[in-house]
Amino acid sequence: MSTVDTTTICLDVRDLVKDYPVDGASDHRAVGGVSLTIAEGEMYTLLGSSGCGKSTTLRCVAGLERPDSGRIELAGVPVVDQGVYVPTERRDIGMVFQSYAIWPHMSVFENVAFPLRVDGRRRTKKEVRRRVEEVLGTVRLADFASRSATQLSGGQQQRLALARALIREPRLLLLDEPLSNLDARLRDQMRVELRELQRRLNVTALFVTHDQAEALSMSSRIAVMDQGRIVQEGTPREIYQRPATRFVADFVGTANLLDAEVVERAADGWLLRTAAGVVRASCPDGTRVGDRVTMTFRPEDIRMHLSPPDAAAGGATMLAGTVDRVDFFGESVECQVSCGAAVLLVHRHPQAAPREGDTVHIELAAEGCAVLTDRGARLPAAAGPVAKAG
Amino acid sequence: MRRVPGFRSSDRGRDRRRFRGGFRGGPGGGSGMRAATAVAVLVMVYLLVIPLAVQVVSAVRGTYLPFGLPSSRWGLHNFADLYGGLGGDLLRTLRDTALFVGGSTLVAVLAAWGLAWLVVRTDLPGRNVITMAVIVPFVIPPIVRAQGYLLMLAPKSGVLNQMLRAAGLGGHGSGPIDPFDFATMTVVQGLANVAFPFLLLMPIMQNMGRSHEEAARASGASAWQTFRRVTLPMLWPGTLGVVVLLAMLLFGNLEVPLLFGQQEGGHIFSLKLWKIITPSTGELPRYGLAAAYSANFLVIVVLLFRVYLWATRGADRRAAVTGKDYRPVRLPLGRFRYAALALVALYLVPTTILPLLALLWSAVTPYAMPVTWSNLTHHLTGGAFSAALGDHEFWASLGRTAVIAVSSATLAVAVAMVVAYTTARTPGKRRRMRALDALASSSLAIPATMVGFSAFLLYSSLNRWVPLMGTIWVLVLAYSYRVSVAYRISYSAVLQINPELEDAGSAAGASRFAVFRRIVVPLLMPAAFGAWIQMVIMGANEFTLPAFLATPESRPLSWYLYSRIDPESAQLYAPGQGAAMAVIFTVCVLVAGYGLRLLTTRRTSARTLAATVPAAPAEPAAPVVTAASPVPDRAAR
Repeated sequence: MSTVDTTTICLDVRDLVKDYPVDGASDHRAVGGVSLTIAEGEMYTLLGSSGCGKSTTLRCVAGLERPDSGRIELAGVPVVDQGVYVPTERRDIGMVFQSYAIWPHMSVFENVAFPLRVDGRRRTKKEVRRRVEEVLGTVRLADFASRSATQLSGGQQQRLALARALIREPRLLLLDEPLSNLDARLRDQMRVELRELQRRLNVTALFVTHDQAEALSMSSRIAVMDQGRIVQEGTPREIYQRPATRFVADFVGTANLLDAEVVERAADGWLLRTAAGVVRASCPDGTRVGDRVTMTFRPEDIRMHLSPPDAAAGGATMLAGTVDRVDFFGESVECQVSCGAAVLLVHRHPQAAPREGDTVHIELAAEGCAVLTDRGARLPAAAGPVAKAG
Repeated sequence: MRRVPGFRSSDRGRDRRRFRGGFRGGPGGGSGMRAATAVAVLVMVYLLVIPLAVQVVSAVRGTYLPFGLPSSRWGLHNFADLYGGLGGDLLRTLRDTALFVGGSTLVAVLAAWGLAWLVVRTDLPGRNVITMAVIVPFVIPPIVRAQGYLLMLAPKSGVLNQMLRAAGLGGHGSGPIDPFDFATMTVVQGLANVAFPFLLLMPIMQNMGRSHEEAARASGASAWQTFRRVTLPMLWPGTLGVVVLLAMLLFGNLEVPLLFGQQEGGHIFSLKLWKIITPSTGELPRYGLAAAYSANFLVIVVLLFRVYLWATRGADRRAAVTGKDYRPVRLPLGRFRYAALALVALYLVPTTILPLLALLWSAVTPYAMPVTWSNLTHHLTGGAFSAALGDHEFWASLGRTAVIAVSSATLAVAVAMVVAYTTARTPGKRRRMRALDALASSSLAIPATMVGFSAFLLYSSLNRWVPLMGTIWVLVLAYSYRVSVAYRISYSAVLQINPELEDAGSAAGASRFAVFRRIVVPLLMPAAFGAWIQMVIMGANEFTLPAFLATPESRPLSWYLYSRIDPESAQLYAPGQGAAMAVIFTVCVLVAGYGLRLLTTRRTSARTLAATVPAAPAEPAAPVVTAASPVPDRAAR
């Protein structure tokens, strides 16, 4: 899938499997054959709900978990392979933990200096001081060096954890839900800061999160994981706009999902019959008339008119419907609209909200309508804002 | 188990298969950590298993010492003697021991439960003072406590008997309480050991969240129904653990049987074992028979220990999860508060105040006389104190006591920390870790009498090659068998450490041993120091182990003290001096214990102060001392 130039590969994971024993009897498969490749300078994100295996994958890369099989190559050096197992402390990594894991018995300075103290190389006091101060400056903690680590605020502890991970100048930075312990406002701020720092230092990072906003805004590539497997990998835009499976469409953002049958090839795209009516959409290559597929479109990609528009934009589909429910979210309203036998979710600016019971006209642009490429994911129908073909 | 062929050769990190070829280190292995663990486990085996093994060997190998004597041979004749000719004797020993240990345990736990419940769960006035008054005797050497009780209960001059006579409760000139009665001895043993179960029960009651009881009240249960159907069942497992632990402790105590049991206590296990190896007539001590006796009781101990492990299973993990700030609801006592206070006073006067008074009285009067004002004004003397302070042997034995207590506590805590880290932090390997955990916890269950006797056999046998017998180093090794005290505290403390702190060390490039040394040990330090202080105090107070191992040249103060109050030790007998020494000894232990504790708090606060920048309020580091640990200062809060 990846088109990364082989000379700049930072991390290569092949067929990683990790089982956990469950009460001695049967094993629970936490990671079931994960493969991924990260290029130098990338911010690669593992996105998924809790228990999907993303943290276990990261911990296998760190060497904190021992995989049952598979191969991991870090900067060209195999660290897990047949007969090879490099322990954590000898892998060229830096890691930021969910709890920050700041050592409470050390000062800020000592926390950051720790990796230099344990790597077995002789350094002068001056050199240690210079490097620690440099990296503390990078994370804007230069004035806090002599403080006790427990006196820092959450955001400062987070930056300290980052400094500690960066001081070794690791080839790969591992970030295990680093923002999830911060409150909402601070999290937004740190998200920007972290991304900016990663780009400036051009450090390669493997990032684990369950938060789709973090994943979409920070990553150069995202791998969405479910039940121990990567279900889709791509840029944030690809993931959001062209979800491959029902799971991805549903997990990342809110999606309208409709079962559909391909009825006709049109000039620009295809015509699909759905419970809401006939819709024009773009389909993947190899689609044939008569195929049964699932199509998806985002609530914010739907334009809703309170009165019939003069003319639909080229290639768009117009559908009439009735507003069943309107939920106020602050920056937007979410409307549930009955459209034929289907129920669709539509997001709208609150100032142009319809009222419940209104008849509305829905405009679907062909570019906003995607067909899931993963056909196996079509059945069974998932719960949620999903319409079934009548 | 599935095998993955590719994962055989590795230098560390064999998470699930690491222990196949024997003990190979803590989480993730690592050669340094592996070596440390191996050494610690070996020391533990040496301290706990080897002596008991020698004892079992002795039981099936002749009459005297098991090794080196030409007459030694394998055989069951010791058991034949025990079950056959002396069968009635064994049954009597079993019965008397069960009555004595069971009765005193019952007395102690009932008193401790009631007191703990009053100070933790009710609005009794003066709770802190009462708590201190109950706990302080815990630090007083048990031999001193026993001595105090004996003086208080002396038929003629004893202050309690005197008071009872004055109240018209029988007796003319002597009595009504006979201190050498079996029942008196049992009650005394119980009342002298309330502090220990009290310390263990307080956190159990404190940690019971209020929500369970509130839920019961909200479901329509009355206060009494809530107590009976929710509170009691929830406290039952913890209480059972305390009962078993205390029974095993009392089982191994020699002090009270030795002082009170001369007439009726001869068949109590600890005294019997001691008497077999120190026969008064010229006959040779029958070590083999004593070992056979002890081996029988070892079976009982193992069964009791199983009960203890069952009752306390998962208690540490539970404490780690729920160790938040509980404030239990206090039951308003209303008009019963004075009745409750009277009950507490009824407990404290004869158990704490009068024995100490009797001890002081004995120290400041020239010979045994009733406590009266005229006696005080006519006979008051400081002679006993000046004699004790001028006694060279007093200072020598005090010095030995300090060396033995500090060395054994240091050894035990060091070993305990390493093993606790291994058992708490080795993923998988459940069965092996459970076995190691049981080994490390087992000394809680092994009665001191049995260990003293086993160590005596071991070092007597070894003496031809390693002449340690009669030195204080035998005592250091024997005292260290109480390693479980430090182990339980360290284990709970390790569980309180967020594992990510260690993962972060590995990810920062530290080897497993470096993580242990630079991260785990400093974080464990407050708990380890608490355990260390506790073990130093226990070592200073130790009486039972030196009973089997000390010679006049190596005896600690507790035994020098006993020789002063034992009428059989002819030329040393001077009860007044003994009482004076007991007072000085107690003061020393109290000062050492609380002084060290003060030192830790000051050191910790100094560290915090040095790092504090006035602007930011310091956030206290995570508390590492567990609720399950019987550390006095925590419970006193």
